[in-house]
Amino acid sequence: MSDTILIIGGGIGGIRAALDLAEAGAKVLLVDKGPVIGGKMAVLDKTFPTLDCSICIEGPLIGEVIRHPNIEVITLAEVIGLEGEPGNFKVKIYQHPRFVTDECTKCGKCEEVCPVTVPFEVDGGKGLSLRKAIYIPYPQAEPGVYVIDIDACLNNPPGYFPCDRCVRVCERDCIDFSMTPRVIEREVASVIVATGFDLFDPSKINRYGFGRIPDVVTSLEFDRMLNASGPSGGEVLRPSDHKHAEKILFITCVGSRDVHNVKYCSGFCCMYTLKHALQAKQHGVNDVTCLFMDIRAYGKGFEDFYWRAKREGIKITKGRASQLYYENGKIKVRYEDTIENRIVEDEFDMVVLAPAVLPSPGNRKLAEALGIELDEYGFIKTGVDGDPIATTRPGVYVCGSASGPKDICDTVQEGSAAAIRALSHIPELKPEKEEFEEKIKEVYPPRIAVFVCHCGSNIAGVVNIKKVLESVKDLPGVAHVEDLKFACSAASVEYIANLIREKKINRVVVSACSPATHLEVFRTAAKMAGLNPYLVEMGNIRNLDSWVHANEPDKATLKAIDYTKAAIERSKSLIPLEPIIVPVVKRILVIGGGIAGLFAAAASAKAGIETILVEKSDKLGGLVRELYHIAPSGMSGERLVEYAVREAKNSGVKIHLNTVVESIDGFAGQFKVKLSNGVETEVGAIIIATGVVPHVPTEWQGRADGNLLTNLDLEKNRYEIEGKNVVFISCVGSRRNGKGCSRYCCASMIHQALELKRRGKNVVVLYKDIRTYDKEAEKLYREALKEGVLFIRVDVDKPIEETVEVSNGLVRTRDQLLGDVVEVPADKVVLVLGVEPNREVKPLAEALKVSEDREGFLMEAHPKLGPAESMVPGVFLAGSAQGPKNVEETISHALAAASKAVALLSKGYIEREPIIAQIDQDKCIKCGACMRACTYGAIKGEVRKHVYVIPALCEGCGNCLGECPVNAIRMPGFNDEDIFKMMEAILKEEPEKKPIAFTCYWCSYAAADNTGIFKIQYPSSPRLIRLPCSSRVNWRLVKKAFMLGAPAVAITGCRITESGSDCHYQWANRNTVKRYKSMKRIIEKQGIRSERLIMSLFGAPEVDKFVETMKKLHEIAQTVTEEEIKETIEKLSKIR
Amino acid sequence: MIRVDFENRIRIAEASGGEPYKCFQCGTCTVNCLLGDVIPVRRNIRYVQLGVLPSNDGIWKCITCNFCRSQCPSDVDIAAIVRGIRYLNYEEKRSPEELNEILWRVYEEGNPLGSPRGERFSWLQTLTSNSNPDVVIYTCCLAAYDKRGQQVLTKLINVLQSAGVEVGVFRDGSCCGDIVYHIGDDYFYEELVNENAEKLESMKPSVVLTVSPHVYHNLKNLYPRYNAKISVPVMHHTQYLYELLNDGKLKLGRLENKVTYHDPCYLARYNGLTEEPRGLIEAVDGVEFVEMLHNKYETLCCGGGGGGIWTENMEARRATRDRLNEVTEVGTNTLVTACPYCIRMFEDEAKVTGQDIVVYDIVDLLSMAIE
Repeated sequence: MSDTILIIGGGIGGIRAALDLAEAGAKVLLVDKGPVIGGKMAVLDKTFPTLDCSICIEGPLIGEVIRHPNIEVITLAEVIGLEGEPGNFKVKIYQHPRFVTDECTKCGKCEEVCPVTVPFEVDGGKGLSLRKAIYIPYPQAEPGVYVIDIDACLNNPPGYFPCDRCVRVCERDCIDFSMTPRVIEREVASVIVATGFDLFDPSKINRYGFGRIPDVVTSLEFDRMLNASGPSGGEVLRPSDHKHAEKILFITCVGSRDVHNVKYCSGFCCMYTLKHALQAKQHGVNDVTCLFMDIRAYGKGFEDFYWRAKREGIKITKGRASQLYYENGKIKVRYEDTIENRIVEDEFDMVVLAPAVLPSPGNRKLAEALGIELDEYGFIKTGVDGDPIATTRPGVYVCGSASGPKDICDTVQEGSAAAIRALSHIPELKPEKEEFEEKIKEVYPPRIAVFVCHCGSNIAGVVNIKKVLESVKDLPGVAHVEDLKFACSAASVEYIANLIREKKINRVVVSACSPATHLEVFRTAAKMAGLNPYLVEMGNIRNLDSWVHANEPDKATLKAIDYTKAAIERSKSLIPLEPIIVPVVKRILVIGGGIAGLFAAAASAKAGIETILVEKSDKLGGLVRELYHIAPSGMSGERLVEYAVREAKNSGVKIHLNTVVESIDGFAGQFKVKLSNGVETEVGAIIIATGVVPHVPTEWQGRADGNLLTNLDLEKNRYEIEGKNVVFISCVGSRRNGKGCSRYCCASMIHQALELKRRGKNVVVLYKDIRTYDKEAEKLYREALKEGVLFIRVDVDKPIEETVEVSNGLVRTRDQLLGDVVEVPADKVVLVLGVEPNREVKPLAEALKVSEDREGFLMEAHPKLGPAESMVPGVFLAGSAQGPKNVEETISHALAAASKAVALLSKGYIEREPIIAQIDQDKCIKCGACMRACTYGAIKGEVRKHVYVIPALCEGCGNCLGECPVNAIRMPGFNDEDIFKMMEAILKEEPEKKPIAFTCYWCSYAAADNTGIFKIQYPSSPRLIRLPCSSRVNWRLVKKAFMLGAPAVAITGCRITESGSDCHYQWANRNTVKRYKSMKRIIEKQGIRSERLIMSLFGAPEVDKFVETMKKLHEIAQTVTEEEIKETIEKLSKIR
Repeated sequence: MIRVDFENRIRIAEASGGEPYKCFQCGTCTVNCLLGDVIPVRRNIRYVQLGVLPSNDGIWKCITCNFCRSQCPSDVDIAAIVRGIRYLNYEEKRSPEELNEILWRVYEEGNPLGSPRGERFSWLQTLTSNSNPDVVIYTCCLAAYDKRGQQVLTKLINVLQSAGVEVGVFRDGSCCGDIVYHIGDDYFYEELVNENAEKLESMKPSVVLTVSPHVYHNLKNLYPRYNAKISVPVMHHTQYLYELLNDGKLKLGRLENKVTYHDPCYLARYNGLTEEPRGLIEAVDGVEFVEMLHNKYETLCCGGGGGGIWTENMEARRATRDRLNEVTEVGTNTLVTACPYCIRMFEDEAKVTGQDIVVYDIVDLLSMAIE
């Protein structure tokens, strides 16, 4: 039996699966046909709907894969054969030579001398940008060594033209043309196919002129244009004349939903087109029009995003383009605005096409090698019974777009789901604890190595790196200073590790990008050298400096010096720490016995972890049990439930019916649970699978002679109803007043409509947009059309009940596509119900501190990369409790939740961040203020007697430090004195020009980071000081800033909104507000101008608010005279 | 306000071969119509979907080129819908007077021009063998009564004979019925095509050869639907000539020319015949062949189809001009095609626009190459 799982494809799906498996303790062999991993996501600029920077959120995962001891990555490789049975497969892998060894340091000399230039495929391969024959696909690529494109290289044997320019300049002799292909044979237990997708070539559609008209580009090319590291450096330039585009047309469904090309919907183009449209606006494109067939904004938060695009003035038109003509540098086009019923003639500077998603071109060969089948389109065929993960061969699984178009979020979900399926073929996991030998024990006095990163030209193009090095090299404690081209490359990390060893370094400071994305990278370097990883600190001189003060190189350099000095100071206050090891109870509690709960429980139990499932009713199966048919497969709901129950029981799940959770207490790894049937137990992880409830329709009640029924009634009636004319009304309870799309309903409704049509009824469907994003569902839609179901589009902008009138035997609405009122005879009216959050889960969610999203669904850890995890460690989300899903998606989401829970528990312990509060008992006066302030209940004790911190509960926000009146709580790097020293370093010179801004790590610092990503320029004077939470700020810090001569101080953090708080620490920022008010009172009382202290709360994406705050600080600072500062110091020195 | 009438909806859809159902109203057709904004294509289909029969002018202006279909993501046969709408309008006596006159001409003289029936082949001097011929040519009315058409027909007979083919001509026939079909007079069409088929059968040909893609389409695809049986293969002349070429029977000489080819709608789009004409052109040594932007399945239109050539259809000339411009764009002045309508439309329009464009039937080209 092998303990290794083979993953084919290193995009985000493969990466997620690999990490889940590795964390659970399995060995992973990750094979990619390209030279690097990361897939398409790695070259995207932003992800929808949160507009996160794509590589910033994927980069850390790529790094984790590369560094994980359980994962072996083989690039430039293809699987050519698979023999044997699940658990005992033999795989054959053909690996192409890279011609560059792992010794490569990415110095780039080879690239400079390489005489061959070819179009760069990452940017579309049309010559938008060029690369050499020896190249790196993108700066942060991993494995981070060069690769030779042998087809382009002059040395391409046979019949080559000898050239050894690269070999001659390579100082480390890494280039080896004698490398040959090799065949690797391995034993694996199971296989995950994650080969992603390809894109349709739009030149196949004559009409759009792609390839003929230079300013017609694909969405991927446009995305690269938006990217700061793309071919135009983040500017929207017309390829023809490199002038800024003022007016852009976006065209969707280019090849998709087109029987002449691909019949299915490509699933995610609508959303990225809206994203691009918004980004275009942000990049200074004034006039943006999008042409659509249907807006398919079906995912969580998508509907909001669509409205946002509309609000921001994007013209969203339902219509299709005519032939595009290029005349006088403009692209002329006609389209029919089908809602306004008019033909529009217009001209644009640029047209962006959203090409169809195609099966990966290697699928056919791969399917043959693996002995699996493809579907009619060439995607990997998924197993029978609507199982989205299994292929036609046992032991071989699939995730992401390999089986059909999927967005990042759904791909990640399937990656996790495939992981737990693949895991079931490994009998027993023997997790190995990561061994870290702390070789460097002498940590005092500090011997600091300072590295300043160029980030290519991202930093070095603005900041004078030499000056920075010069100004810190003689500071006390600094033992080494050096600049690095890309500090984060694997080669650089290794270099740093070697230097630590050689020079006996005991503190590392890296001035580079954001610690949010890269601190872990440099901690790894320390670990490699045997230095405690908690002795590493970063200065953020890119996102917070070079990117946002690009036109002020001198000022940016001064700021870089300040940030580097501050980081050096903070590094001195760091102490060696060890992760807190919390033993876990290897038991999982699944709450909810619907289809999600059943699948999650069965998968968890199969992975060898004891699983308990509680269901409040006397039946398992939830809503799915009620379904006569599941769309689009047509399978019976009852049959699926029976299958799931059998699976759960067979794998040993303990099921408690008629039971609810009475109370829950504890934390990840150790929750104490009390059930209503008297059972008390401990569990390590909790999976919430409480599902949704159908909207309760009050619309049109009593106005239709009892001829109204719901789509659920129809399922219960097994589609047998009276009457000849049936009208379906969709979106009842969905897509209105801030409620998003319910996602499952279009496909389900069309299935029902078609069934009734086939039973001889006249069937009419009233809809807003048809959202059959799934391959099979779109097929169903076409069948329904063809067989004569009449579809009538109603007003999208209004709740459906306001646009559809139902009266005796008639339904009346305005047909949007005709522009006239239409009346339909209706013997029966079927209301297609949206789904709503299950309110019964609220007390439980509150007890667990799992937050809700705006609609009341449970909030996931990350909308793209953490769909099945809640924000609370140890609590996972399965199925529609997190947001509307169809049955298939529910199953894969449930499997993903199980995968996460199993990965957490299988090691038997959890590692927790050790930067937490500790009470200095000598100083502590046992007043209990901290106990009251802590939002986690992590500080326990009795006032005047004893007060202590429970390490397993402390999240390290520093809120208690903000509260303690006697400075008796310690948190390394974040103590008053530590921050004092940082401020002293910053404010040593010209303090009157440097307002100080304290930021929380999660929102305001993230907003600052994002401002950098957007390259929004703002005044360079403010200096940021990163804290875990704004609640860490106390009067002593503010006072110190003023005492050191700062002209103004800002406290920034997460928002507190009416419906909740973005605060990562459960409303800890309420304390911020409270304390801010009291600080204001103090300075007012002292006669100090109160506007010199400001507070500003905003979310991570709200870069405009951040910029506004920076501008305000700058303006205030300019009004403060040296005289005033002197006075302030005098006044403050008199008080505590 | 419109009240959805399910019965009417079914009636119109059935008259249109079920095609309106397939449409999901994206609007691609409307803006890709070669006549510009004359026909509210999508809206007409929408009316039909709701059970309302549209009767606007656009319905009668349509040249049934089906370019819209080539762009339609649902591959809706929009020309079939137009024909369904015309048929029902005709039944309700709501067709333009001009068209009724054409019907009378076909009824009385056997051709839409109204030229005397007896003169159909009076010009044809070439001896053709009407006993036991290899092929029987069913000529288009335009080819029979129009000078230019007669020229092509004569050359075709010569080319065929040069390849050793015994050629017969269908002298007793009337109009193939194309225009009758497009006007929507189904009863007359049925009567006419059955009569034609019967007479044709009586000649016992082994192959029926057509010079017009429209005749070809009618005989091959429409006649059977009206129970008019033609028991032998029906071929367009480019198909037959291509076979001769491949059998080595057609000997071609050299000809210096740069030409482009316009696919007639009813040859390429309706019947998928795109390779045979190209094969013939490229077989002529010395001919440089260039492809226009729109070709094969996505060919543009001369503006003559669907009755366009027989009526005063000014809007259709937009399509003609667009095509001529594409000819100029590829840098040639020789336009080869394979349809009498196309030749007539392009030649006439080139005279109006003053473009120096020579329009050939493939037969013109081949006959030059043979000489």
